[in-house]
Amino acid sequence: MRADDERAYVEFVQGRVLALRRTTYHLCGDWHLAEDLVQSALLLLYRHWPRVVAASAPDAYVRQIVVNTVLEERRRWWWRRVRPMAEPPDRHVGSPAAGVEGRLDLRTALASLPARQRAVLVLRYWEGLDVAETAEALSCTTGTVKSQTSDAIAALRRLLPDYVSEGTDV
Amino acid sequence: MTGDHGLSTLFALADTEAEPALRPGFTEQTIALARRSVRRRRVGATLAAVVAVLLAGIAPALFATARRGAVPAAPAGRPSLPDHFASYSDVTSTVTRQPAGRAIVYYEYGGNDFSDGLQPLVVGADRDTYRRVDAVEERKSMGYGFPEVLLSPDGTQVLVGGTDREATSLTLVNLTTGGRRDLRVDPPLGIQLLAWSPDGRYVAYGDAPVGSPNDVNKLATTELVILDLATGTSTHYPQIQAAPAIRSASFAPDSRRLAVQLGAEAWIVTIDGQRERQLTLPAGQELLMRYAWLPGGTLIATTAYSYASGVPHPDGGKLVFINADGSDRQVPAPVSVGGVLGWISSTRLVTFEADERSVGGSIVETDLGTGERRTLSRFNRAERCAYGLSDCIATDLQLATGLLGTLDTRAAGPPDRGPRPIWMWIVVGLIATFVLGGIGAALQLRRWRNRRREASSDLQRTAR
Repeated sequence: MRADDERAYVEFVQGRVLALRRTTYHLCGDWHLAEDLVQSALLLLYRHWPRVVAASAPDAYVRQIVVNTVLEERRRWWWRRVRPMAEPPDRHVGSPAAGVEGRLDLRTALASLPARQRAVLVLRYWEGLDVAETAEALSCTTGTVKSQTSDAIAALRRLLPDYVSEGTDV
Repeated sequence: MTGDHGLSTLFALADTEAEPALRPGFTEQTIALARRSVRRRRVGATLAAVVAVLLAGIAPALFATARRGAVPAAPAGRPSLPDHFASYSDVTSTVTRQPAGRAIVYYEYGGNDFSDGLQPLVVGADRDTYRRVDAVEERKSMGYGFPEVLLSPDGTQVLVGGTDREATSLTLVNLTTGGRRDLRVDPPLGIQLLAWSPDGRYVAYGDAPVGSPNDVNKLATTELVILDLATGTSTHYPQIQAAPAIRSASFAPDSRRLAVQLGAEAWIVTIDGQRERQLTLPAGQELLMRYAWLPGGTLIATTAYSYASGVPHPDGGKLVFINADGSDRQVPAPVSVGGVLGWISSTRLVTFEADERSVGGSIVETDLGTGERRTLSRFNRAERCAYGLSDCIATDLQLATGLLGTLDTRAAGPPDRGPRPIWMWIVVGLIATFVLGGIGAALQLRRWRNRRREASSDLQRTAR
């Protein structure tokens, strides 16, 4: 990598690492793991950095790497055997309340969703991406994003009936 | 909470959790790991490229091996000798890997002072193909060297005999295909190859007692055996035997009779072992080995043989002629020539004339009628073999005698030594790998240092 490219990469990492770790944490639910996964994604990014810069889309590219890295990690055998979760999710996770209780309810509910449904919700409602951006990050079609979103909200509705109403948009 | 707004609110509430700090040095460690990762990939890619280059280099050699037998085509025209022989080379391929095509000459060439310095070689009759006859190398024995070998009159085959051990078979090597045919010898005996018939069908050999044929004290009795190559069968003729050995035999031009040296006589026998007549040889002379019978069929050539007489013949190495029918008809006068390699006609022959040190030499055509001599080919007398440690010598030179009638001389081109040996490609590949790897490592090291210096400056600037 040329010195200019490397300098730009360093600046990008320094400026974006916290946001990337937060997104990753939302996807995986563990800060330490999120840090490791972000590091893996950044290593991959370094390898392709000149091409990513040329495409003027480092954010989208990195997001795609992070999401794919998380989904890939979840497919590994050790993930299925040792899930990084404090407690197993309950089927019914409490009554409407704000603050810590609501936060824990949502996290446990998200943890019980399939990985791609969880990723769809995180990207759309936490990261604020639209359908097309979410599809790009997940490397799938917008139709798939819509159907996954619909399924995920339906699942959340069952898990958090007091938080998620019937009228929630997809 | 209801609708999309409710979901967004829920997520927003969940995001109020305080973030832990990044572990110390996370960014620097990530960048260092990224560099290392790319470096490793580059090294891996370089090694893969080197391996690919190596494989690409070796592939032609392997491919050439695979298409054995496809190279030599039908004779292109008049057979010819190169006007000089190529120098000694360690990378000359074998007949098995890629055949030479019909050969004009078989010879053993290499370092004089080293027992393993010689190579058994054939040279193409149509182009400058040089090949080692690996079937000869495989029968080499310690203390004796290469086995006896005969080149067929048409130059398409080589017959490999035994050495000092009892042989259970002869090996017939096809020089145009590289194929081999083993001809069983039963009972096993010491092979003493004598002559190949002009029509290519028969080979005469003696069942020499085991031991060096040059060590006459060890020899007992040898009987004549005729091998019919059409059937692969050997017929023994116990009535045609000599003690201690049949020194020489030569086929008549019609391939139906032989002149066989038995003691001080030459017996003329038919191919089925019937004796026609006995000829008394001139004093101190023996039948000329392999090429005694002249093309006209009426004369037989004899030569002084130091092993038999033990003392030098008064006429030196002169050829002395006798009538094949035993008559007193006048014969040509004795002539002084070098080692006879074959007859072009009854008055023209080809000989090998060694130089004064027996290092190097020339193949010469001589007209016995006019005395005119013409050099057909020559060995480089100044050449050194065995990595410069020894003179190069050529021994056991044989020509494809059936091709001599139309023999020409060609200007020797670059020798075609066949596919390079695999060990050579490996050596070249290793050297190339070390050189390219060294250059690449030096360049990469410089780039890494520069980049690290720049990145370190960037981090310090950012920290400030």
